[in-house]
Amino acid sequence: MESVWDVYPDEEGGASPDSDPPRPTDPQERRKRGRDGDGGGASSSRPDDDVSVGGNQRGSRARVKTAGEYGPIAIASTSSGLGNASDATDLDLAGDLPSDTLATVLLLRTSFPPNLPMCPLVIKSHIYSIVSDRTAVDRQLEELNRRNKVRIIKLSSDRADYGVVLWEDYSRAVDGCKEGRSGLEKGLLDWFLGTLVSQTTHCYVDDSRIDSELLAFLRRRGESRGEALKAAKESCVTLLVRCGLLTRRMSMHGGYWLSIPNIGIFVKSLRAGRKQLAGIVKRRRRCEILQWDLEKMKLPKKTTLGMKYHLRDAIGSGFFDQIETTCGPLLRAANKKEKL
Amino acid sequence: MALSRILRHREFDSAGASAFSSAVRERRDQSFEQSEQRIFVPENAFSGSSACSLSLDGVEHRYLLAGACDGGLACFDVQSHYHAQREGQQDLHEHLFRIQASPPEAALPLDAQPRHRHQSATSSHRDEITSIQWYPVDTGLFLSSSKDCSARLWDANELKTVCSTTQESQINCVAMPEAASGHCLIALGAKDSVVRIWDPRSDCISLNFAGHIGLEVTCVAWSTSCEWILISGGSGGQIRLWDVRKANSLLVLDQYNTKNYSEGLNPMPDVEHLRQRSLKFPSAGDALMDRFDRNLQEWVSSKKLVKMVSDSKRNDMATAHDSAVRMLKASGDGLFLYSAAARMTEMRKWDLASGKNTLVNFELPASGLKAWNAVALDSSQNLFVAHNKAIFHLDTATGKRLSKLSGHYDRVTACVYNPACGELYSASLDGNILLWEAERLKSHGKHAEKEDGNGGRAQDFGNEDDWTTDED
Repeated sequence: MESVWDVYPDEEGGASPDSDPPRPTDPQERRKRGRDGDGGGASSSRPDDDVSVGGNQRGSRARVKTAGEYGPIAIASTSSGLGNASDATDLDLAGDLPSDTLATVLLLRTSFPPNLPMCPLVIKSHIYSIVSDRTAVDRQLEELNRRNKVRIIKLSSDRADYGVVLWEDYSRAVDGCKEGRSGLEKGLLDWFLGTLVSQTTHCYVDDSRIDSELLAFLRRRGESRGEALKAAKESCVTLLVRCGLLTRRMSMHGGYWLSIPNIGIFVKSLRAGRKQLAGIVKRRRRCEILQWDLEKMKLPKKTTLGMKYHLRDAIGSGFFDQIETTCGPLLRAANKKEKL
Repeated sequence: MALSRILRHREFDSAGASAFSSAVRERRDQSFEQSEQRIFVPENAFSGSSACSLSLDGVEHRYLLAGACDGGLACFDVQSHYHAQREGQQDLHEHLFRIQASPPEAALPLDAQPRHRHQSATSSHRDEITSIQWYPVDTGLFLSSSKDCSARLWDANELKTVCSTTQESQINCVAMPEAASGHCLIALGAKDSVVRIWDPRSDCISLNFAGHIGLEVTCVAWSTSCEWILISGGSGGQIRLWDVRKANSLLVLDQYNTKNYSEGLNPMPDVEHLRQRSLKFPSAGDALMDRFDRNLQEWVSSKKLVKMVSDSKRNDMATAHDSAVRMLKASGDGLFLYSAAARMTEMRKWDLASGKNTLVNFELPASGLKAWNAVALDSSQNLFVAHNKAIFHLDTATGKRLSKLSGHYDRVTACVYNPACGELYSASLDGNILLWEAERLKSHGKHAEKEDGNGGRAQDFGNEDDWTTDED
């Protein structure tokens, strides 16, 4: 089982297979992991039914760390996948063909670092580094979000970063918050997942909307009117924020971002790793480095996510220009002055 | 598709004449190259300074107006090579006229200083020109704004300021409506959060629109289909649509208000229908015809939009971008709006009819966008965005990068597309104005002499290098 995570070897020593995230419990999920594990790592095995969308994945390679692995992969058809997946009701991979984006999300989800106490999350820049048509990625993600196949989470880093969580993982994370809660609070969490989140088409909830929905929910539960209702409403929002399912949108907009528990650890290590990666590249002459050299390096400080994770993130978000040279791709910082 | 097939297609197809011309134009625009035969000579016009904004007249597509970093103005004739005497192999486009910048106010002796700032009608701009625009109806008038806090309306024949306005803070952008028949209002965006409407007939600021988040209004643009709709972008990342007849803003564009693509990746059926209809009008012959297209105008101001106004009240704090808006460009048919922001070069395409984000991801480098409003749009699906030292040629429907035009040595500050000749002009801080033409229609067809081209630059032409890099 642990060989699944070989893609991100615990080089910094922080990762140990014992500190795993909550393992999936349903048999289908376990079957998928087991299958990936047989191949010895997700990036080299890539089972056929996972990724057979219009030949949009490169063939499996023996060398895992080859240069060019991160390069964009041309996809033959951008829109065909979505139409086919429209009548798929569940994410059974043996069934309908998922869209390019969904296939990529499923692929990248398996390589999420195991030592983080949160549900697996895929950053959008990682998807960009695999699927070359970014417009299609954006639109398909939007579509998947509307149909509640995935949830898009805004990451509170200093850039416009978005994370993608499968709906199954998300609902499991919400269920995980129920431990040790009273019956009323469990009801609130059920309402949150079933009504509020599943009817939200974007990654935030308006103030006015959360007010009206909560009032309707509390009335149905039989709360009285007036001050007591207001207090109950406040306590409900407080509970959701305390669980880490909502965060206040920090600007004059008001409203709340959707979030998942313990995402702060992830965002913190993402930001720290980015800073260190930028530090490595900026110390080089002309701010450029061969991808091969960079892959062999380690990040100077202890990070949770690992070099490969940050490298893929930096390439996908366009912070490197990839220049083909005779000795492999050369990475050059796209903007030498701006902070990475 | 081969050209012969397109031609045959035209015989059987009822798509209209402009569908054919747009197909041909699109093929042509795929291959822009820096011109080696035709060169602008901005050195004489600007005496050391560099051009930082350009405008091409909309009537003849012939006179290119350029504003310089020191406040000077010059005009070039882009078609003068048709009747110029030839000088070697290259045609030099000299300036037709120029208006020199006034010296800075502090440099003048005290008694020569105008007592009031708006009395300086005879002088010209003192600081960098921020935007410049020809009067859309004829070439007798043009508008310019500058960092010296003034906007001026010039008589192009007399080369004198007809009227001018001075604000407290420097003016970032001015715009005249291209589709207007009922008014001649000019929108000003200055370094405070108020959009001002300047009426040159009464020579006063007639309207003020407040409400932008952020410290300044960075871009203003008029809608190309409805003469009353003004679009403005602020440094807080907000884009607002105003109806100049109403006090409140019509719509605030929200980046999370995205278009639903459940029916596929095509635009909404009614939008597509309107686009087809707008194609049927002759576009080049009667330029004003499709601008005054009443159908579009009615539709934009129809009940649909009015209904959205009430929705948007709630959403008054929505933002279109996370950082300052640096570019606003409405498409020629008035259906779409392109906007870009300073940080991370996030660029978006908006459906103006519904105010929704169409989720087109433009392939631009992630480093910040520095140029202001340096964008050109041709009549079909090509968008030219200046970013740093290069101009990126993008497809508006998919956001794909078609090519990268590099030739400037410093930041590109403006670019303009010429729909009559299929050419692109770009100005840069390195002092050059370059001319990009389609490879297929290089002027005078001198492909044979191409190999000895001594660089496309005016500088290289002026002093022939006597050193050589030849090893043999």
